[in-house]
Amino acid sequence: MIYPVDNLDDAYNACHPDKPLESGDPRYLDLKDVRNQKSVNTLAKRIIRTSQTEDFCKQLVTGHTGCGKSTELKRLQKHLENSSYFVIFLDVESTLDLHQITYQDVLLNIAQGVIEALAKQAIDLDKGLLNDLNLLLAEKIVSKEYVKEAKASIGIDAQAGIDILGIGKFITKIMGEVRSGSSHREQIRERIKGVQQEFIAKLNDLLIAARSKLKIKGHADLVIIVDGLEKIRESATYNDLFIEHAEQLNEIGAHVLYTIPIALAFNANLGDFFPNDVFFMPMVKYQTAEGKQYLADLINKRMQTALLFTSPALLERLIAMSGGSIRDLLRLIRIASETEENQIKDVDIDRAISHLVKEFDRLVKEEDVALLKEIAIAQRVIKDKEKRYERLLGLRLVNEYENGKAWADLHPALRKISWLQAKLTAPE
Amino acid sequence: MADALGDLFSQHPELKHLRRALQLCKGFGLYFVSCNTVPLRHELVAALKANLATPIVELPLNPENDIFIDAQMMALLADASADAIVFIYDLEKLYHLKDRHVIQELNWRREFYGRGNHPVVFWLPDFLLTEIFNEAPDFADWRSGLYEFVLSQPEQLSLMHSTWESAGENFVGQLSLSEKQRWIVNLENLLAELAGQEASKTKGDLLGRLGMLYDSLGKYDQALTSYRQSLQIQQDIGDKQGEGTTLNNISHIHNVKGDYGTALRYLEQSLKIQQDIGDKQGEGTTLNNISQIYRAKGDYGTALRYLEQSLQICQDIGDKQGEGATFNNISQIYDAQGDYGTALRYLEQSLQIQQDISDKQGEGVTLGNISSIYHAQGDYSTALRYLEQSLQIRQNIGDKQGEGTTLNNISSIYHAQGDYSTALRYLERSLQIEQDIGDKQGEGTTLNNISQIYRAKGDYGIAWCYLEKSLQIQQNIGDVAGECATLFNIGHIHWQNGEQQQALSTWLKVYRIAKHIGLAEGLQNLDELAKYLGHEGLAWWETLNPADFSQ
Repeated sequence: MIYPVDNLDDAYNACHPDKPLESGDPRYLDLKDVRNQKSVNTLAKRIIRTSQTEDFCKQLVTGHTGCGKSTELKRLQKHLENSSYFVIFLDVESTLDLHQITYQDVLLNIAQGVIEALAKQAIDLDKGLLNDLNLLLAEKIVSKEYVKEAKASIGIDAQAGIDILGIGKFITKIMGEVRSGSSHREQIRERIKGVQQEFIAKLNDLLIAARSKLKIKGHADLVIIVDGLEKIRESATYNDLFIEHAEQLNEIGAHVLYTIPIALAFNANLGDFFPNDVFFMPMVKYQTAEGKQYLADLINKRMQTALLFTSPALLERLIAMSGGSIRDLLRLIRIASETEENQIKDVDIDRAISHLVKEFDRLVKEEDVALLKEIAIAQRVIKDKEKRYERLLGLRLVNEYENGKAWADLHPALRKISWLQAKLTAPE
Repeated sequence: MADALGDLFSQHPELKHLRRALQLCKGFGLYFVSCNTVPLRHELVAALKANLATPIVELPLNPENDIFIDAQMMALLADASADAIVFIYDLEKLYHLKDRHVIQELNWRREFYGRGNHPVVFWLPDFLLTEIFNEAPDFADWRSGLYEFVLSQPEQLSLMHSTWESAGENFVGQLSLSEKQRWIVNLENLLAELAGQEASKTKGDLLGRLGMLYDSLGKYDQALTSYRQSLQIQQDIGDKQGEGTTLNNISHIHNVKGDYGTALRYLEQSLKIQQDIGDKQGEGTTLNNISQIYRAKGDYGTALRYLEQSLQICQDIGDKQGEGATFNNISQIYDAQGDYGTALRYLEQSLQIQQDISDKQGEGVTLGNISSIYHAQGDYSTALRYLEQSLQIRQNIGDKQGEGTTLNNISSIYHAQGDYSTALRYLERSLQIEQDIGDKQGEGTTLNNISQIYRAKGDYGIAWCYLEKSLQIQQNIGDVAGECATLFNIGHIHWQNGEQQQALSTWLKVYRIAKHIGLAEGLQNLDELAKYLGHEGLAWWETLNPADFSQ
């Protein structure tokens, strides 16, 4: 497809609310100017600077769903690779059970990701190191019967020494158990907990070896990006992972970047465990002229708006309703394009907006109203005792922007929900 | 045909947009369709099939298929053409079985839906969509669009109302499991739509019906929640008559759970209200229900007094149906005391009335009770004749729950005569019905009865398995009287296996439960058992110390 496209059929397929852009996609637009000069370049710089010291950079990243986070992380990966870093991108959403994830799962996933990435590069590791790791797994983490069964099923001779491919398959198999919630899951987690220090030490041995091999191959260092953790829903689960077990996550001997749920970023204690500021990817400030222009440009990169909208004011209406969420904007355009005509008209915009409003109406509960009202007045996130704000942020009923200082507002679609608007404007 | 389709497109303007979206979408795209009624869905799908060039692959979800939804989808797509569109139906069936987990699974497996590279359309009842938006927000956030197709609210309400009313009093007893589930979905949808509106009699009634459906499925906690919401509304708007009915319904749940004291308190509240407003018919029903509590506790004198009051009221207001039911209940008090002659006389009066007024439902019950008198006296062929009549009636009026009970009773006649294989055949039919209609309480009883056939045949291992299944169901739903019966039988298996300590320990447990809730039937069995074991009677259990049996 040649962007920007010149017809609605292609426009529909140029706007996907469901997949991030790959790095280098012609539809990409750097939004740092409307994100308070924040871009992943800032992050890349921070990592590169730390890698020149003895320290490891542990960086948390957050942002609203649909703000372009995954797209930006893919760009970060490219940027680091261009600076000759070796980057391992782990999407835990497809490898772990986010519903019940624990730090043991994350450690296993990192071990597996590193081994797999090295094997792909045909980088072999010291036999002794692999054997140590194999012994730890086979003797202390899974049961004997399981080892036999598992190794037979993936075609490894249990008696012979193990190579990097073999151990990769073995860990993948163990992770499969963890993900699928099999009866082995709790046992595996318990045992990792029992030999936690030893497990982390072996993982770090692995990382030391991997980094030195990578440096020989001309890489500056190793960076691991763990994406998907921001989708953990239950606060008990993410607090357990990032607060209770911050120590274990911090002990990993590599530069690691974790995505976190936006509600966790509001936890005042987080700074005690992760000294780097959380990198917050704010929503685009769609309220300012500049923000509007950027969002329009973002769409202009995808479709010839002058040709496909009957008037420029129509796109402005969609932008005003997007709340600065790129995903909402793309979805609005998709819905508006569901017409038999060649151009998007006023009625299509009306319909798209009314769809979005009705969808948001499904999310607002009677008991949210009081807090929404407070936030609308204060223009910042208010942390209530019941932690309702976590839900409001997670569902994007409240959006967080940046304007020199933190600044929050209700999603504009909420203003169009008549019963809610009546309550919000009612005098006390 | 073309005209009908044209109509549908003009009646539902969103259909045109949905079709357009599906024409446009290349590769993966996630679509939600909100559609509460299955017939409407059929029409919409037919219209889309006729108006889309691309093939549609349909995946109706089935609770028995325990594979991930996305995996089922991929298997279907293996032979489909590259541009096929997937329609997924019936997620609500899984939701009712497994609750929230089904929804959360969508969230963490959303990646897999995208891998198919086909457009995926979920057809859902509206309330479930709201659930997905709240519980699986990342999944919902991938949507390309959501299309709502609705019957108007008054249309839906009047449709439901007339269906419910036309089926009569025992409406719930006539429904299959899937029909019950569909009713639950419909009621929940309507209630969600009414959520923003003021409390009304309609809302209270709908909640009451929802409670009855859950009640019939053994989902007592959900039933109680609905009843309580219904009660709140009825109290707020002053719907006294509705309040009386709901209090009765709530008491039934406490009754099943063996909490006779609480059950009685609700009934007394109900009685008070009905007396205040002069709801004579309701008062009669409540008096009957109160008598059932005293009967369960073995206080036959008090039970009889309430029944006599009820009878008086029914006769005063000329409520023939109530009179028949009351005679029936009176007979059961004499039956419990072994006075079969008096019991039979009352049953014959009851039968006469029910036949006069064509109360089929009541007649089915009475015939069953008459049979049990002959059964108790050892006249198996007469007992069987009455049961066959009862079965015929219940099948004719579609009283499935009653049919299950009757099949159980027929089996017990064959059991008593030593014809185990025929007995087993009837029990299996009964079990099938109970599973079909989701009657958990009945299922527990039937499993218990099946175990007794195997026990009689000396096959203790299999008997044990059935008892365990039965116990698990009864403990899950909180059917305390059923649990006592099952534990009692478990004790017997221990005894027959020579495990005396375990047997006594199990029976002692039964004793403590039965004594705690005042379950007369259980205590009577224990009394006989103690004598059989060579002790003086019920009091002997009191002398045992549970600590002696700790395993």
